[in-house]
Amino acid sequence: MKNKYDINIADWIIYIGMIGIFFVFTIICSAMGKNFLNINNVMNIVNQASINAILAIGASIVILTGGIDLSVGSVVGFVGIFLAMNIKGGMSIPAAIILCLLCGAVIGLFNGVLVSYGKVPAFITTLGSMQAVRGLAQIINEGQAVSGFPLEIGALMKTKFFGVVPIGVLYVIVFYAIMILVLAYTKFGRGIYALGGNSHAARLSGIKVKRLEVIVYILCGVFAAFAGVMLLARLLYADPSAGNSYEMNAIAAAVIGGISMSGGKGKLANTVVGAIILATLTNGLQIMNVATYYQTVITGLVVIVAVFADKRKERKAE
Amino acid sequence: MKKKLVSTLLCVAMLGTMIAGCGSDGSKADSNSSDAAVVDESSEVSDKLAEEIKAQVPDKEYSEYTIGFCGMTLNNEYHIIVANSVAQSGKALGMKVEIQAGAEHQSVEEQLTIIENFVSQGVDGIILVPAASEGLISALQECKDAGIPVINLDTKLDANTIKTLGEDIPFYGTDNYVGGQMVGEKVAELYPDGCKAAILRGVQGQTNDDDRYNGFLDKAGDVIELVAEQHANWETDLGYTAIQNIIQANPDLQVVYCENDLMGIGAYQAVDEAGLTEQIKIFSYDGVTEGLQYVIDEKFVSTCAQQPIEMGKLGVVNMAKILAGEKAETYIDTGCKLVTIDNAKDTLAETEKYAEEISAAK
Repeated sequence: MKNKYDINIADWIIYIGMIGIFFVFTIICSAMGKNFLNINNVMNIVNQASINAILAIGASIVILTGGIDLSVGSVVGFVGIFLAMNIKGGMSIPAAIILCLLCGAVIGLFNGVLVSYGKVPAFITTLGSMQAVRGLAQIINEGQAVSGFPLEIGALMKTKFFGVVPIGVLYVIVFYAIMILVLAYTKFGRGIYALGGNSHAARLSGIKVKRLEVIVYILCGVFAAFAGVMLLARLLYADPSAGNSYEMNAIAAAVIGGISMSGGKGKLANTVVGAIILATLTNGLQIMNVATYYQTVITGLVVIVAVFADKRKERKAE
Repeated sequence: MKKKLVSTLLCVAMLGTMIAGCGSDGSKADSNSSDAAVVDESSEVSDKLAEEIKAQVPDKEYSEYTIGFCGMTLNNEYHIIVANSVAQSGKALGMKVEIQAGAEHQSVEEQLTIIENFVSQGVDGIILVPAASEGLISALQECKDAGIPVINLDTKLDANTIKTLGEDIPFYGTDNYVGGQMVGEKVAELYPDGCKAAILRGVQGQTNDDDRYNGFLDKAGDVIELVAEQHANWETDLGYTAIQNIIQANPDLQVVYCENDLMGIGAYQAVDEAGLTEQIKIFSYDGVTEGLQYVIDEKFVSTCAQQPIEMGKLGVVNMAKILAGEKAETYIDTGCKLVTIDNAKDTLAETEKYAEEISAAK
């Protein structure tokens, strides 16, 4: 009986944490006479979380297979420049976006093949591609930022539904819904968990492990490319250093959401909560006008506390 | 089955790279010639620049000298212009110029490595734009021990570093405090009855950040009510998020002062999305091409333009003087000016003209 109660807590701890953080910010902000908890700001938070949330889908599925992808931040930067240059050069926006998603897929393919067929550790492979892709982002426009392209692309991030719901929120809902269903109900999804849990057993049970791994990295690359499109649409300015250290934020979101770094364990649905928690911290602390460097400390501590709370079950088991 | 899949994927990959290759070629031809691109080593120097530089230095054969330029970063226009100016001015004298820079605005440890490498290669002089005003002391000490002269551009090394080193390092750059004061005066002039203001600051610990901040507050501090300040580390995306959150906390915000144009661009996007462009006015700093364009489009009230090309030229000219055994100028304020709608177009034209001058001769 007691055991059952524990499991319940562990399942809900991330939501409790999120509500707790909202509660604390609401009280402090209202004491300071600032508005924190209203529909506008909640939408603000989800919108600010959206790019990281999309990246975190890729991070989550890669981590679930027992791998890691450090290259996504560089892909964001590369795609921004590449997309901006192409639409400036007269390519139609949909074609340019598809081309960018394809670039993301190619980079993912490169990572995936090296990791699965080449047996190069994922950390090393993607550390290398992180540097290489960042270099490419600098090379394609000789280190320069790109501006002066058609601004219609902004509609991809600046559109609002019913006057309050930013389109970024919609992307998050749609992509998470699809990927949660894929993970839960398809052979591919179950394969990801099996591979991360025990790759040997997964292979013996007839799962085409290598193929699966490659597809996971490709998906991660495509999500990263889409995040790059979102960032360009938001800022309407392409800077080759954009997306710097975004991979760490994506991994942090996945980890706060309880995705186990050793693979095979965790729920994608909780990753989005992780991303929202991270965005909420920045939002709340900036509304309170807390100095930037304290924000970094607080965010770091929250990551550790979240994982600590998540491991409660394992500690109990021992 | 497996083989088929792999071959399909490879085909897609090849196709993708081919299309990608075409795409980038196509748009590259279109890219604006006034954009300062990183010049490569083989590029030629315009006669005009060669004459101008040669006229300022002692008559001497400089072709045997190699100078190292250690930039802050090469990922934004401003710093690329400084680097190109140094590269082209150096080549005007026949010198070999090695250009290196950190990956980010705050890559101090990378700069340490770069300078150490320069020293071990035995360069004859180093021109430096430090990524932090402190923290390079050990590298500078190595230069001093090896007898390699150092010239400091743009971001001033802090007084303590110079004192510890026990050697004066020439500095040519903008007095950012004065630039900050100019922006402050403009705000005070436009809002004599006060206003609610927020400041987006750069990387903490750089003197540029402190000077632009303190200079601004010196002139505007009594007028404005400073409701928020955040370090957005000179980055566009961080500036965007910070301003969005600051507006949430202070819906009646009126003025945003951004310490560089990149953060200003992010700030404008946030203000624009909130539909508050009438209420919230942005004052920026740096005067990069896009920043000037924002002033022309009335997205910024003003920006503060610096003289990166002048800095690069002065660095090389004075390095040549040192190498020829003469004394270099110890301090030159290259000046800055406030760019508003009145002079933005002229300034942009001027910047493009200069950019052409230091870009490779065709």
